[in-house]
Amino acid sequence: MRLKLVAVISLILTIHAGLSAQEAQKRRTPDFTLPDIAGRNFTLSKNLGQGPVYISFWATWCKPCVEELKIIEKLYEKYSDRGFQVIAINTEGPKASAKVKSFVKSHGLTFTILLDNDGEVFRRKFKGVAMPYTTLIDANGDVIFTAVGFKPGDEVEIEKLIVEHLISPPDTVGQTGSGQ
Amino acid sequence: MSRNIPHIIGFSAIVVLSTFIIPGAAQAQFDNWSVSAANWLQYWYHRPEAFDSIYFDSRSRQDSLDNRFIVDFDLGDFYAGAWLRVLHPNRPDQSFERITQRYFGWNQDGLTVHAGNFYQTFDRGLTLNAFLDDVINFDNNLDGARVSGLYDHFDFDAIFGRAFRDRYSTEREEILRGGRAAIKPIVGTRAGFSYIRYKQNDFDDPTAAAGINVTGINAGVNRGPFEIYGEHAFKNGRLQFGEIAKGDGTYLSGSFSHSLFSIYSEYKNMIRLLYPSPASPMNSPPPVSHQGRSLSSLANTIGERAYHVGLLLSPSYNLNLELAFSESFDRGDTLRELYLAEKFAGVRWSPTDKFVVNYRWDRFDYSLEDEVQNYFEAYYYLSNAQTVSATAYTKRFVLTGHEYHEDYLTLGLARSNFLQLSLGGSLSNNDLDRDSNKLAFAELTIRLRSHELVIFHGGERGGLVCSSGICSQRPTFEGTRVILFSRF
Repeated sequence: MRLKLVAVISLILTIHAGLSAQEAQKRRTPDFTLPDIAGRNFTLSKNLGQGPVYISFWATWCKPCVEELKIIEKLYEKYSDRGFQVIAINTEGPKASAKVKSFVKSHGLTFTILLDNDGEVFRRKFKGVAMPYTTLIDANGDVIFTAVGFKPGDEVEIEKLIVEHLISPPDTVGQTGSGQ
Repeated sequence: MSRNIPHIIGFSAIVVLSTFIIPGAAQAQFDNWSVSAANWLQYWYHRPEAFDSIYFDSRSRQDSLDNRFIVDFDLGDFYAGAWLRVLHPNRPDQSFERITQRYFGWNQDGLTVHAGNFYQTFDRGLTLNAFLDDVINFDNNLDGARVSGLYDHFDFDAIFGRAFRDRYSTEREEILRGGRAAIKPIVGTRAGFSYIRYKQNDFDDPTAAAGINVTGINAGVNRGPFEIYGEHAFKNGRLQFGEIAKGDGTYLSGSFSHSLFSIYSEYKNMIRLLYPSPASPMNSPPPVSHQGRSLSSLANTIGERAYHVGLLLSPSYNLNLELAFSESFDRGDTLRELYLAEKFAGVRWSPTDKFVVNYRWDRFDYSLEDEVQNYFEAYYYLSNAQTVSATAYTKRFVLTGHEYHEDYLTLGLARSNFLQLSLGGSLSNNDLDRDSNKLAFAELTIRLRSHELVIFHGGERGGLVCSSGICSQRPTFEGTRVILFSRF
């Protein structure tokens, strides 16, 4: 019983320590270069400095990912002229290569789509274990927020963070099309 | 239960120390110094799988632990990292505690030199596809070295590595050497080649080594709405039993993409291309089906010919329709002559800003088992940041003349990126796996900044899961599961 108690306390300490530590020190997001669906190379560090960047790892079979991308597209349309960028990284590799471009076009996604063919960026650089896996970073590349999983409604908190980190934020926080 | 408590304490201590030490270390160093880590702790207190009860003569509850700790150090253009895994499932023969991956490297202006463990896919995977997929418990990473270049008009990879003999092996006995390169004279066009030399011990002659060569060529055009791609690979050499290994494979794909409608198609024709075996391949062309099933993954066929066509319709941003059809024919096995077909229809509709509906229908006609799946999911916004959801899923399949069904229902509540609660259950008449036919569960997810805590209690039915052209049977779970995922 004592051991169980110690285990529970350790878990609570873990969460508390993580929160305290993150408040004290921001994490830097790893840099990477990947091809986009048109065949051009995209390097994260060369595209920083304009505003917050929303990075999402996704797959065509992952339905929460698709919901997330459809909702984030509305935020992208709303804030892209203020420097907000979205980078959606497909992790399926060869099995979906024939479909990704059609899928993106038919779902009306207009932001940057990259292909992580062997999962090295998702697995090793971002330490991803499940999808959707999301990281929001500021204009300097420091991590603002990360999450595994997405449910409609999550975008309210995400939009607040985006607005907070726009280089010239608007006076009032807007609302997305969903859930109004 | 006490067996895993010391491990939980140990890993929690590592996590606690990491949260204090890592940010402190990063703060204390130069601007180009950074340390990052993640810990994924999963603990089960559960009923052993029915399969296990054959070996352990008991269906009493037991506990299991799986902890993965990943740490990375970056100093300017240099990097290093390691993955530590402790696995203590309820089957003692599968327990281990070890560093599963370690690596270091250097990266500058598109050139990367990497040593240690790595994953690598050559083009569409006909010559090499080393990847990790937790869903199907597949990991065929290589341990060796890689030099990669990624530039505007050409890219290349040269590799050397040791591989596991098969997906269940823990010993690295096989050696792969090879490379790939492609030129991209103008954006959207490419032409390239790949080559792999696979060497393994010769069982007939222990002093000799058996070797397989796989060579591939590929080309593609991706301009405007059109994209076409083709790849051909051929294999020759000698297997470890002295048998001559000759095979080849072709993969073609094409698509037309438009905001109103898009069409995609794939074709695959291969015979004896997979090495060293269809069950645990180091290469795997795309499955050429909607859900990732293929004859080689379902039945270890030595060859197959398959095609897949799909149509995506988007009358508006809030309405998306998808239709897909695929067929696969056995090659090289005149006795079984297996056949697999998949018909898929799916719709996503958001009639109002508050309501989203997803429906999918998937039918498989397979020589050994016919199956129909129906999936319905709906979200409703109670407020801007709070949604309720309902998911219903049914599966009907016919196996050895009997018809079975599995029905699932899940209700969910999600609140503002912080809290998710799901209640669900399943009913089935499937007595093939000796699992319970009535299962119910509750799952709570709490998200705090970079931490996710998931607590699951109840039963979750397993089943066939296919991904990347490889299929696996996921066992039924009954018990309590706690997952803590943290990033630092």
